[in-house]
Amino acid sequence: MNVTAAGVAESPLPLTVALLGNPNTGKSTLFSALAGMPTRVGNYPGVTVEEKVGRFVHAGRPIDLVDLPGTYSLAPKSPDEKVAVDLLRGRLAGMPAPDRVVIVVDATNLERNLYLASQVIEIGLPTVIALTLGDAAADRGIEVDAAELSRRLGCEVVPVVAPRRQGIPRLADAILAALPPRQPEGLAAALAAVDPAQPPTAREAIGRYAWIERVIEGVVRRRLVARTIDDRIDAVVTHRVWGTVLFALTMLAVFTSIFWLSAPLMEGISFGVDAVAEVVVGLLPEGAVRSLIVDGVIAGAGSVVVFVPQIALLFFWIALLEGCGYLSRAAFLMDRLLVGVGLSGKSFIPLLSSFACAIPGIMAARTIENPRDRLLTILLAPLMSCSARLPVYLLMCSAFVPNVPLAGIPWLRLPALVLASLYALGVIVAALAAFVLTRTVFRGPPQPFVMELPGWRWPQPRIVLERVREATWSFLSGAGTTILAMSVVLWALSHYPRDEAAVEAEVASERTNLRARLEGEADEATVADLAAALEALDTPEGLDAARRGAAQRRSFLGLAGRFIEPVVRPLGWDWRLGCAAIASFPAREVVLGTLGVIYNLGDVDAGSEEGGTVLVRRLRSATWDGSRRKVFTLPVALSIMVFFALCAQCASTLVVIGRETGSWVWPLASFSAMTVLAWLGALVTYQVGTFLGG
Amino acid sequence: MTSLKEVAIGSTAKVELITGSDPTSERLLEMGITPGVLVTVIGAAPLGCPLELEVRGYRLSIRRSDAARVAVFPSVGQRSTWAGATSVRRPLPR
Repeated sequence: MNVTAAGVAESPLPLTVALLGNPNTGKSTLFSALAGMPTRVGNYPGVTVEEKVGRFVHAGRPIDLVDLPGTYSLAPKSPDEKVAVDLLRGRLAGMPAPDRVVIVVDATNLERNLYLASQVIEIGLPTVIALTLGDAAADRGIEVDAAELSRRLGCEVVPVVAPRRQGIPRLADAILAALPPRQPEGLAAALAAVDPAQPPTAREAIGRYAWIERVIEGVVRRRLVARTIDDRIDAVVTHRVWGTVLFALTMLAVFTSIFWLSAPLMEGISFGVDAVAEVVVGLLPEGAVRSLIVDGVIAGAGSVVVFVPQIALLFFWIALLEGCGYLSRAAFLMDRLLVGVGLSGKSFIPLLSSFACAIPGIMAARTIENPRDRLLTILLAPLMSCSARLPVYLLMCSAFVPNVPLAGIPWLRLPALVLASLYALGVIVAALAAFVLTRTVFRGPPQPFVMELPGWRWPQPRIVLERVREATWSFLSGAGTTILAMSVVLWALSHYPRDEAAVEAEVASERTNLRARLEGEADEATVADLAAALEALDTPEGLDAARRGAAQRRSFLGLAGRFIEPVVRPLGWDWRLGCAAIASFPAREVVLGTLGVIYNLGDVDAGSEEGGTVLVRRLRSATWDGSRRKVFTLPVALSIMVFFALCAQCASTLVVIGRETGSWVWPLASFSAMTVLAWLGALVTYQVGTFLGG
Repeated sequence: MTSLKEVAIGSTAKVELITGSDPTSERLLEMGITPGVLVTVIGAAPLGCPLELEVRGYRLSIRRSDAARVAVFPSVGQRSTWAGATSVRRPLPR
């Protein structure tokens, strides 16, 4: 093939080069050393496996470097591996077989890496081997004779130190010059020589490893090393006591950063969004258009961007832990805990992160190769009580759960116990759901859990940043647009139909109603509350809030709330609570704000002490329509909390589930199942609570 | 017949055969646990499972239940101090 100077003018067509190798071989580092930033990131057709392509030019020839998912063998065990194999064999729809293959081979682990390499060489595509991690190998007393290896394998072997760009130009030269390899010496004979008594599945591995053992003899030289670096680090990291302590500290750091460190960043984003909204409010006249832009589009965009800090921080940690080799150790340490519910240790970090927010947690499930475990983890993640549920719990606990000590212990109080129980409830329901799902929908043979514990190494800052950028961008471009569209639709549902006359009539009847109740009320506190509410109606802000409340109650969402009243009645809820539950669908954290609007308080900041107190007072004095019976009692507050602990009232989470599973079936199934669970949980809570209390 | 599950922590055993032909057995073979290879049990997770192994010069983690399908010859002894010396058939490097 003519790829030299003459080829430049004649063949502007880019050369497609597949980059293939075992996981943990420094493949990503090599990709960025060769091609820099990926020029195209997408999904392979029909699967949720990420496709990454980088274009670079070498010696005048454009080259498209396709990063294939890491794989251990050409007999694929997961969708990731299947994509790699299909692409290599030219069996992937719409994608021709690559022109060249670069096999990444880890010098510290040559024996096992050559298993895949020998299979790829056999395919016969022009192949180059990039021998990575030579520096790490030297630290471990391993030396590889690349020239001799090249001779024995029948294809070019180029040693590279990708982080320092050593050997990269030579590798690029070799890619252009690569020829189809000759069949490796003795491989066919070694495969034929395997004892035919061995089971057929074992024969290939036995034959190939027998051949590899002969290939590396004399090629790999080892110095005597009493205890390798890996030995020393592993002795601590997987130690019964120290390993557990270190693990707990690491997870604490991960969780703290996504739970608390992200808070000021998220507040900053909210602040920025509010500022933009303010500017627009100043520019546009009041009306439907302004409301669409401010409450629909800007608020919607804000609700997308607000997730970015948590996603970026979590992926920063994942990339860091993966880069140094701790991610698989963490899975190793936690495996026993999760195996009982049918998962593996790899689900631990995604599920832990979900206590901060399900969205980064669901995205973190990308680190789970096994498709069944990954899907199950994605489905269980929203059951972990996220930080958006916390304000609901806190408000309800402080307002309606008596602050009494338990069992005579002064520091152990009932609200704290309720709060802890809600967190436990999510975990227990998730464990039960996993137990049931692995025996029904996800029934099947046990999935292999054979996990490499890669050698310890320094994480590459470039790879870490690339990983963060990739995750953030894939969220913004993939899920962000859908979330934004959904916010606009939900805005419309809570603003239409608009009937100003009916709103005024409702405000007037509210006033009459309050007056009537005030006259017949004997309880002093209630009198004060009612008088305050009545007085507020005479202030411009109070009147505006009352109008907004009435408009929302008359909107499609409000109507839906009234419509579902028979369904929420057994939970002890009135239709306003039904409305609030439905209106919290855009994002759970708006539920308190929605309650504020529905109870005529306008935009109350329920998170602040003052706003919270006002809302609590209003909720405490709320009564059923046309009666003096209070809406909020202890059983009702508990049933609301249980409902929010278990429901999937979060549009963004559902969109991300859809995006990560590549199907609308799973978000729909997840929403339906969780809503039923939440309803049943709230029903039992209310009915049992009422029975015990009354 | 002894399985890898029964090999004491810190000991090395020589693999006799891998039972079963499902994806798990296949993966164990592909990862280099083939008849004749030396496997060292480095340790176990704090909760007793999974196991940390060293085979062909690298570290691998498998569950005890999967270790049961790796039949081994009685223990060869303590782990070799040669980094990655894994096969008895290969002469020790100088």
